This record gives sequence, C-alpha cells and structure tokens, in this order.
Amino acid sequence: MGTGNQTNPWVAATQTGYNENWTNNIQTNVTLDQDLNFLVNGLTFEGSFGYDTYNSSNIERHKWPEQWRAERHRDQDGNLIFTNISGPSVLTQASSNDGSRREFLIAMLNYNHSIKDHHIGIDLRYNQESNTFTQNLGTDIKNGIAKKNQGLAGRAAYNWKNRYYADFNFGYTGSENFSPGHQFGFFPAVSGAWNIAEENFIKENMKWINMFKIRYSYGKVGNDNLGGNRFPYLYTIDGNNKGGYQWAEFGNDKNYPGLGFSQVASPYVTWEMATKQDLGLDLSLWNNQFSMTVDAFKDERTGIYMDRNFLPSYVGLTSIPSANVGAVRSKGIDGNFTVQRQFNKVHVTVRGNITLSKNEVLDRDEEQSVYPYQMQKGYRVNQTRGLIALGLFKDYDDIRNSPTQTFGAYQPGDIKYKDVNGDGVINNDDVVAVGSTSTPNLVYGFGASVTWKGFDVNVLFQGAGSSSFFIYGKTVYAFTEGEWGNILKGLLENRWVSADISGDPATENPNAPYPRLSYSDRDGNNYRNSTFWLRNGRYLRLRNLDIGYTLPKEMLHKIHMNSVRIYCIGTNLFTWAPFKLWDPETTDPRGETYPLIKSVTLGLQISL
Amino acid sequence: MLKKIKAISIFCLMVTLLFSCKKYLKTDEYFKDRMDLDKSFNNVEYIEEWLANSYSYLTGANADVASKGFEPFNFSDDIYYGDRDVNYDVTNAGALSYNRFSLGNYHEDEKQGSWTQCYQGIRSASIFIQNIDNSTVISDEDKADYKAQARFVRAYYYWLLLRKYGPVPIMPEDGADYTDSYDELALPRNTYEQCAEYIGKEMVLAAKDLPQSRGQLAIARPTKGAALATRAKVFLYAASPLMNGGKVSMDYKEKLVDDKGNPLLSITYDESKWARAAAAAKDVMRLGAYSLYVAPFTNSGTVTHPATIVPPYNAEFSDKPWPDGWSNIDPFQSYRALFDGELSAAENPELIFTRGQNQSSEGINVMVVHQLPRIASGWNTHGMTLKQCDAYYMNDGKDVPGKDAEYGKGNGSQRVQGFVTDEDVAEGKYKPLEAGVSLQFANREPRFYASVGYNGSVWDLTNETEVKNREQQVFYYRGSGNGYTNTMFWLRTGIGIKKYVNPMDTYENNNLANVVPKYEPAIRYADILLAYAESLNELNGSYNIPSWDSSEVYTIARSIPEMKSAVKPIRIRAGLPDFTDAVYSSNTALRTAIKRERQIELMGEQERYYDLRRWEDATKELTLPIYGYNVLMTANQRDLFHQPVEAFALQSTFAPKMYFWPISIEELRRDSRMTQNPGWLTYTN
Repeated sequence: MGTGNQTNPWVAATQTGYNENWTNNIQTNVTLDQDLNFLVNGLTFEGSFGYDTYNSSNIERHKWPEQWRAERHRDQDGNLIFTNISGPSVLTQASSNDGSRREFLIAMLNYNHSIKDHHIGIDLRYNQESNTFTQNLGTDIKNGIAKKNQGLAGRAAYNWKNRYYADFNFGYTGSENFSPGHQFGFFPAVSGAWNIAEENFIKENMKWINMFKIRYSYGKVGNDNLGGNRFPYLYTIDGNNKGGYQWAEFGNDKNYPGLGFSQVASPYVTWEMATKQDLGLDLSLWNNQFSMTVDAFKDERTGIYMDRNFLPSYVGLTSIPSANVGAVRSKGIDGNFTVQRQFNKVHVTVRGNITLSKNEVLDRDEEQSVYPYQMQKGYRVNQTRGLIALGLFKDYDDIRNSPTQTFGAYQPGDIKYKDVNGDGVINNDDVVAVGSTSTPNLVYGFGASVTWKGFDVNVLFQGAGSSSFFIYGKTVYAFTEGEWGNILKGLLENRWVSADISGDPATENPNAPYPRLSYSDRDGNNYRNSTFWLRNGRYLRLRNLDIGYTLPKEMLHKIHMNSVRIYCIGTNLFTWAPFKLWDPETTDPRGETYPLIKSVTLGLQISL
Repeated sequence: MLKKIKAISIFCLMVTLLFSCKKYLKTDEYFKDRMDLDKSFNNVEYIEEWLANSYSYLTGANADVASKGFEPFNFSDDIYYGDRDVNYDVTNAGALSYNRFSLGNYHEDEKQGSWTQCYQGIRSASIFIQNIDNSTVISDEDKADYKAQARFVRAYYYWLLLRKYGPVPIMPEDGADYTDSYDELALPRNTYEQCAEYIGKEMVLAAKDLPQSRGQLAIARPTKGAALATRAKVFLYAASPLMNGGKVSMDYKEKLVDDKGNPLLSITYDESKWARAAAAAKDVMRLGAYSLYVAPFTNSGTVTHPATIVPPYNAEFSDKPWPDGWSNIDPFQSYRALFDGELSAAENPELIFTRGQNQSSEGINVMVVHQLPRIASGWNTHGMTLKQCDAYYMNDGKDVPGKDAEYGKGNGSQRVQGFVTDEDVAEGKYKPLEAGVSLQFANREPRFYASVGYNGSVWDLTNETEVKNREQQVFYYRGSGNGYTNTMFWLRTGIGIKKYVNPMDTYENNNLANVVPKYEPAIRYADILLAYAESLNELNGSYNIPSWDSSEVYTIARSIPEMKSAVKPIRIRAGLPDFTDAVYSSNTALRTAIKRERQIELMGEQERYYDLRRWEDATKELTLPIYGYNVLMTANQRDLFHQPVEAFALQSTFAPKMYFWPISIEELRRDSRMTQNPGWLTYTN
C-alpha cells in the first residue's frame, strides 16, 4: 500500500482510511442426557448435536495523503529539499466476505463405578463433525467440500484409593481428506500414575507433603490438516500447461491442444503421526506453599506430509506428488513452580517457568549430497546455516595463501572463509550448520508479587536463549539495495580501513567487527550468511513492573466509593542481551520493523 | 418389560446411527464430475488431446533440425554459428557459443531440457498406451493406430536420449511408480544394446499397426516407415565403432559403466550388428513407399528457378532418364526443393518422418534468418567451414583442386586462381556464377549451389518489398556490408549457408512471415539408403535375418549390386556419376566415400555431429583447425581473401568426454544408481 516502508507510522496509523467488519456467529447445541442405571448401574448416555454458522463481511476503505520525503541535503538557501514520493489518493473501497458452517454430533456412553477403593470409569464416544466453507471457494470443487472427521474414542480409567492410576485411551478417527482405505488412523495411549503422597507412610510420617505424584504417559496422536491441501489422493487432468500438437502440413490445420495430468495423485497420503511420551512429577509441599510441576517429554513425529521435490526427472512427472515422508524427534523438559509465603502482613508469591527443548530431523524429503553436513537430516529444524568466517583478509599475501573464494572479487579487508571440505575452493559446499536455530530452544520466565497493606508490587521477567540468527540487508550491509547515504555509525567506526586511506596500519584490523566499506557488493564476497554476521538471540527482559496502592476501604466508604487504586505500570523497561543493534525479540533479521514499545503508564482505577 | 423396550430402542438407535455414519466420509459423489482417466479415454477429442500432449515434447530441445538455441548439435565441423557469444556481446553471458560447444567447455547443467522433456513424453505416452485399450468409443482399428502412434513416440524419445546421452534407464512399461521411495525408484542405466533392442522391438510393434502413408492433415503423424526407419537408425548406431568394439574409444568404453561396473557399450566387436542394421534399412526400402524426389529437367527458366544446368557429359548417366541417369531431371532443384519449403511435405516422396509445423522459437525459419545476409536484414551468423565447402565434388565427380591442402592431405593440387569475368557471364560460362566470383566455386556439383552461400553468390530475396533489394550478389569482403565488422554478425569463414533458404526468403522488418515455412526433415529416405550401404560395406560374412514382420528372410552380405542400389540414386539425383567399381570393391574406399556422401547430402540435418562420434572419427576430424577464407581482406584484396587461413574466431577440439552429453548433476543426486558419462563431474567430485 502506498509507498511501503517510506511511510511514517503516524500516516500509517491515522491517515489511511478505515475498515468496517460485520460478523455473524450463531451456535446451537441440543443435548440429551439419559441415565441408564436401569440397565447397568452407573451407565449414562449423552448425545449432543450442534449446528453453528458463521458469516462475516469486511469493507476496507483506503485513502492516502500526498507524501513528501525530506532529502539528505539542503538547497543553496539552506532550506530543506522535498521530493514527492506519492500523490494523494481519495477514499476507495474493497469488500470481502467469509463464511462457514459447522455441524457435529456426539454420542457417548459413560460408565462410572466404585467398589470399595476401586474406581472404574469407562467412556465410549462416537463423534462426527463437518466444517463447510461457503465463501471464497475458487473454481476447484475440492474447496467447497466439507472438512469432515468421524471417530470412535474410548477411555478406560482405573484407580485404587486415588493412589495408583492406570488409563487406557484410544481414538479411531477418520478424515475425508484421505483416500478410502487410508482415511482412518488408530491412536492409542496408555498412562499410569502413582500418587506417593497417598501412601500411608507419607500420610502418617510426612504430613508436610500434600502431593507427590509421578506419572508417565505414552500415546499416539494424528494430524490430518495438510496445510490447505485438500484431497491429495486425487489427480487433476486438464490442459493447463499441457502442450498440444499440430498434425497438419503448413497451410492446413489439424491442431489439438494437450491434455494430461496437471497434478498427479498421491494416493497413500494419510495421517501424520506423533508418538508422545511424557514423564512427569507433581509436587506440592507445606500446605501448598511450594508447588511445582516438571515434565520430561519426547515426541516423535513421523509421516510428516511433504512434497516430493527430488524425484528423478526420468520418472517423467510434470507435477509434484506428496507423501508422508518426514520425521522429527523433539525432546525437552518443561517445568514451573510457585512459592507463596506470608510474612506477617507481607504476602509474597514467586513464580517461574522454563521450557527447554531440542529437536532433530530424522528424515525428510531431500536429495543426496556428498557432504552429510549439507543434509537437513540429523540437524535441527530451522538450523541456521552459513559459512565459517575466519576474520578479514590482512593483505594480498593472506589472500594468495588462502583457498580461492568464489563469491566475486575480494581484497584485503574482506571476509575470509573456512574451507570446510578442504577442496581449496570456498563455495556453497562449505556452508555448514552454525549457531543454533532461528527459534529459541530455551524459553523461561519468572516473576514475583508482593503485597503489604494496600501496596502491591508485581514484576515479570521473560527470557529466551539458545537461538541464533543472521543479520543482513541494507541496515548492516553498507550501501546496498540502492541505499547510498546513511549507514549505522558502528559500521563506520568499527570497520577495517586500509592504511593507504587512514595512514595508520592499526586500522587494518583483521578482527574488526565490520569489513571494509564497499559499494553494491550485494551478492559478493562479504554479504552472505556466515558466522561473521551470525548473532546470538539470547535475551532477558523486564517485561512488566507494576506498582500500585489501593486506598483503604474504610476511607472509601465515607466518600461512597467501592475501590480506588493508583498504579504505575512499566512494560519492556530493561533488556539484557548480547545483541545490541535492535530488539532481539523482533524476529526481523534486517532490523527494519518497529521494535516492541517501552511504555510507562500511570493510572487511577476507581469503582463506584 | 419397559426396561427391555427401552434398551432395545436405544440399541436400534445406535445401530442406525452407525450405519448412516458409514458413508459419512465418502466424497466420491462430489468428484464424479471431475475429469478422470476413464472419461479422458472415452471421448475422441480427449484421446486426440492426450496423444497431442504425448507428441508435444518432441519440439523445442527435442527437435531433430532446429537452430542452435535448442540444437547446437546441428553444428559440427561442417557449419557453425557466430552469435550467442559473450566475447562479442556481454548480454550473451551464459549462452553456449559455438566455441564453447566445440571445445567441450560446457558443463553438466547445460542443454538438459531434452532429458526431462523426453521422459515426460515417455510417461505421457505410457499412460496413453495403458489406457487406450479400455476405451469404448473408438473402433479397434483406430485403437490400434492410436496405440501404435503413442508407442512410436515413446520409442522415439528413447532414441533421442540414446543418441545424445548414450545408454539411459528404460522405464517400466506402465511408467515408474512415483509413490516408491527414492531408493526403490533409483534405476541404473541400461546398456546401449538393451536400449537399441528395446527401441527396435517397440518400433516393430508400432509399425504393425501404423499405416503406410497419411494425408496432408496428418503429415506429422508417424507411419510404418517412420517406425522402421527409426529402428534402422538405432541399429546403425548400435553397429558403429563407438558402440561396437571400436578400438579408438576403448578407454572410454571401459569407463562408461553402470552402477555395478558393467560396461554399457559393447567392448567386443560383433559384425552381425552391421547385418542387423542393414536388414533394418532394407525393411524400410522393401516397403516400397519411398523414393528420392526429383524435379523435372527444364530448358526455360526464371531468375529464381533457372533452366537446368546440365552436368558434364557422362556416357553412363547423361542420356538415361531417372532413375538410371539424369537426362530428364534438374539435380539442383531436386535437392534445393527438399528443404526450402517449395515442396510440401505431402508431395515429398522421401520424407519419412517430420515434426511438420511443430517447430519452436528456434525452428528452421529462425535458422534461415541467421543464414540470410545483412542486406536482407538477416543475422548473417550461420556459416560453413572450408572443410565442408571443399567436401562438395566438382560437377564431374572429382575433388575440387586444393581440397584439404591446408591439412597437408589432399591430392597435391592447388586451389584455382582467378575470377569470373563479365565476358564469362555473357558467354554463359561457369553457371550459375556471376561476375567477380572466385573460380574455386566454378563447376561444382549441384548440391553445392543449393547448399553453399559462397562469396559472390546471388540471394534472390524476392519477398523484399522493393524490387531493387532483390537479386543481390553478396560478397563477404571486409567493408562490403556483409563481411567482417566489429559486431557479432559476420561469417567467420566468409562462407554462408544456402540450404533451407527459399528464393523468396528475406527478413525484412525482422518479420518471420517473410520466410517461407519449411517442414522439418527429421528422417529422409536418403539417410536410410546411405545407412544400408554403410552397413553392408562392413560385412565379411553372410547373415540370414528375418524381415521386421517375419514375412521373409533376407540374406545380408556385402554385395556390390545391393550397395549400388542404395548409393547410386543419391549420386544421380545430385547430378554426379556413381562411384567407380574400384571404390565399390574396396571396403575402405567405399567407407570413406559413404562418409563423405553423408557429410554432403545430410549437411545441416543434425547428422554430422553424431556421425563423427559413432564412427570414432571425432578424434581425427574435430581436432583439426577450422579453416575459412581470409575475412579480413577487402574487395581490393580479393586474391588474398580466397587464400584459406585458419578461422581465427572458430575453435574446435575433441576429448573422449565429448562422445556423449553429460548427465545433469541434479539427476545424479536424485538417483543413487545413475552413473555419469566418463569425463564429467558427478555430485561427489
């Protein structure tokens, strides 16, 4: 819209028109409960039927003011020079709408029974659900067909004295998205738990333990949502991009257009499976003053739906089939704790949570490579990859004595790379996994709240770690992408400078944080992903600080008020991170998005 | 009692529910109106469209005769192209220049469209073959014909692959199952012999159901002859030294192996393969469907179609009518009309297979506008080497004086000096030369004048709107407008190409409509005749080989009358005396003569590039420097112009890795069992 990133935020926020949305959402649900005690004691039947409709319409009204850019230099009289970057646009409109319909039916038999200390629960459940989209369907009839699921699920649960638990679950679920024979998936799960706190020796001897439960579960779950790709088992025969042939001699016409598979079928596509294991501990001590939960998990996703991009050409396809070929294993721990304590009139709560995970690609659609380090298999999802930088070239001797780099001309002051495969040439074969992944593998947070009389203080810290990203683009690559004027100060001050220019050999620093300045080296030697531009995405930030005072009730009653609170909230006040150029939490490696806003709010809250 | 009723009714409810739910996920009814295989083979229009698609992959990079953008293989040591060269024009970076092509400086990822395209065509045709039998809307005869057409084109794709890449993997009959894992899909290359046998068998199957001829509206459809002729060419290649125990390429043959190390070309010589090739060529000849085209003798001509230039008197051939002599034919017109669009495909009795109008953006018309001189707005960049120019005989069947003198070969004679004078023209000497033309071009065989744009030849250009721009004598002297300039557009040897150029053709206003449409001569009868003679010539023994349809058994042996029956018509049609009995009786002399005959007769038909390789002659022929006339000389220095020099702008060499085109690295990465042609990179190095 308009002039893209040259537009200032004020214009974007206030001068570009308005939208009108109208949303209609009706949900109906009929439920029938029937007690079947007359047949078997503890048996109940529940059936429900639902019918939801949703419609929305959206009208966007756009306009655009005339916009000018102030140039970097002034005219001879010292006035700013303005360049027109967009003419005005009067209000125009665009409308769109959306709609869907959902129907579902659930029938459930439920049996609960306890004999002495034995507690048994059995559920058997049938459900079917259909989602129909009614707008924006395009021309392919595939898109107008309801998304449907049908399933039978069951659960058998047993516990003895709330001390030993055993559960068995299963789901047998079908999806309309797959070919008959591949529609249903079976997803069983078992779990067990032992609440040690219920054992007599604890109950009698260690009363300060309120809960001490160890649990384990193992199960499979499925996914039939293939990212909008409906009915991959169907093929499409039409004339799209199909060449034809002219059989007749020049001057005559006997031409036929072509017909063929514009999309081949992927007949065996079925559910993506995930095998999930979880070992957990729930602990609660000292009258629940301390509680925590820790889980160690291991998930193995198999049969991940992917395009098969690397079929040999001799197979002769003109379209790409897909299959359940990928596999990823992820492992990690996930925990949180809470401590609550009362010291006289001071009430303190401390909370924390942490998730640490790591994954590995076990299999995916990829072609052979002679260098195992170039395959994704065996590495993490979203692994950052690049060349290994060895600093900057000192001089021409250094260049002569190093392997040949194949990314355009280079000279002293340019980045020197490591020849990973030792073939004497630096090229894309030397790209390796470096750093971590672009998404953090460690996420944590902790906070505390303290109240004393009417005062309350809340703090919340949040952090992430074990991630890395490449910075690139015109922000850090000086004078690229058509930019020729301003560059970051750091690029200028911390760069490699030839002694011929500076007159000082010390400025030829092979370890300078930025290479020599050059023009339009966009695809050249320096400006490519390498450890030189790799940054650690670790950060810890003070997300929230909230200080408040609530006036005493007695005082308020006199002026007929219910409550009054004066407070001050600060968000994003401090960030500690090794990366300083911009907010590491913005995932933008180019540094061009608006950062998270640091704000301080003073407030008064009154209720009458 | 009440309890029971309740229980039963609930049970019934559940059962009905489950039964109604059984169809819940069924979506067939929505899809029944979509196009499916069954429908597409039960409608004549759709059947035609499937087949048209199966054939559509024959164009573009898979053409047999096309301009260099798709078919640099049309250019060898006979003709060259000067454009598409980054050394002359930076916008051509990445283009495959003639020098890069002929020096083997191309890489594994160039000109790979044909591989993909062939296999896509193979799959399309396989689907057609698998499904056409189930069709209920066409008669059994039509079914058989359609199926045979699909079978033909599938085998033809294999032939195109085999010729360019050497041995390739043969797909399962119903196509590779793309749902298999990459490991299961990995196929090794079949041997050359297996590929040749496969194509041969398929072509026999196709020939059984293909008709002998087709009308104007089906000129691009294959016939019985097209299938048998392709088979004959495949067998000729399989018998040739490169594929059949030849010693020159033995090192190469030992390295060209499949994933288990088995050689893919035959290491040991098997003479019976020549017999098989001869029998296959004879199968085409025995159809009786083809004959060489001849234009009638005429003694009153026009500028564009002059009166017949009668070859020098020869007691054996001058007085006899065709096919025993040339008394009633015009050899020049007989050859020229085959290619320049004057003769329609349906009228041409020697056209065996053609893609007809299905030519790409690099079609023969595009080739022609690159041959046309600047004066006709042509690109003036496709030219002929001196070697090719010299290969044409004199009109009495002798060699041109000075032939191959630059190579230190030849018969010791010197090139003719002097030029045609106005008086000569007035006296009617040296026809069809005009004044100022070197006498090196005088008294040459008719095919020379139909093929060579020699210095000072006349271009008719009758489609030019202004009369004054027609009938132009074009010289390639520096400074003459069509000679050397500092652009890309000059002939590196000072010799142009006239083959495929119609007297009307011009490129005025860069309009291709000024070029007469020309069908593609993919397989010509002359090619088959020469193949027959070439194969027989290699035999020492006698072989009994059944004909393609087993209706008779041929006795195949080196028989002079049999070889003569194939070669003589080509010589007579060209207005040349047949080879002497001394030549016919010598195996080596005839081999040399036939190779030269192919070089002349099939110039510009994408034969020479592959012929030199299969004969293993590439190591001798392509390593010679390329000679031409001295293009730096001006009109005042015309004597110097006509003293051949090494063409400084053209280079050529040969290394064994150039026997076959490399397989793309990408394909090697995707097929763990695929092996690269020797001398080219694989993804592991």
